[in-house]
Amino acid sequence: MVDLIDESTHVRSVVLDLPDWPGHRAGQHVDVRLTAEDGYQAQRSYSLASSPEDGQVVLTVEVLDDGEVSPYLAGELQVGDQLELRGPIGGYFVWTADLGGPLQLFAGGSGVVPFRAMLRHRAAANGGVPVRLLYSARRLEDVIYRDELGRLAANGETDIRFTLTREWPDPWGGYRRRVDREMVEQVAWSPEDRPLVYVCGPTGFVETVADAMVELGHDQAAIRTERFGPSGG
Amino acid sequence: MTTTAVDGNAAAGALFEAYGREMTLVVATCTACGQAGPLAETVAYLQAPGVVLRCRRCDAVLIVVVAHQGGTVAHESSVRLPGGDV
Repeated sequence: MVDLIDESTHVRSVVLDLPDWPGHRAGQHVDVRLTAEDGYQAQRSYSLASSPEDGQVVLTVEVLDDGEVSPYLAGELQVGDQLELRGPIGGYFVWTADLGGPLQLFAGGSGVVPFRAMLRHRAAANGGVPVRLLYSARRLEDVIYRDELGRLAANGETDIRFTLTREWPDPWGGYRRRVDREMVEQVAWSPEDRPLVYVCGPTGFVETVADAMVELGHDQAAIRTERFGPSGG
Repeated sequence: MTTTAVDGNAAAGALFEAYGREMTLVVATCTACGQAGPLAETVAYLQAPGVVLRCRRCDAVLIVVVAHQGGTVAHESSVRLPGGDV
């Protein structure tokens, strides 16, 4: 581990230097295994936050109060410590520039992590593919990668909408509620645009969005989901 | 910690250990209800003793991955996987 970056109050990025890293595709994840002195093992899966072109491998970890692995990764791990991990793995929730677009991304909470890898990969591939992202967070302070997303939105290449579900700054131009079908319809590409759709977040968020997209006429086969449950660990 | 359901793609690592290759894009057919789709789209329980993959339509147990005698073994239940090397 070579660096630790605070992304928000409960979220930190862990930067890893992996000399033998074989490379990965945006959206893939790694399994991190911790072994206690008594041999007890705990393993969790984390999405890669870095793009294949970034040079370093970055995991973004949400610290869960009752978690077994996340408090260690984001709290106790020190620069220079070693980690046991396996990956990259997963071939399903993956986007590579040659798949084209347009891209429709829906992120709930730390579900935005694989999308940072995709957005960076898209930028490294000289953009081109139009992207829309809807990002749902509890409050503005919980928005991960706020500055980076703000820059992407400001230069007009990426259409990023936010919805905050608990607290809002004043003034606030985004949505102020949990995601629903009306919101999905307003922000998403139309079915005629044939977007590639990726939805990542807590189970309820993913199911609301995926159901809405199917009802709106999108092809189920073009919708890829990654649920991480109400808590990960 | 509660046991929560996630997507089969989160079980990619366990499946890789058991089968020796990336499995989440393999199309599995539930022999209980006939639902067919990539293993990534099944329902996965990662915090049971072992990893359990269930059919998203009928909830039948498809595959259970467990540690066994120093290795990792997949027990296939109500599932049909493509023939050949799987």
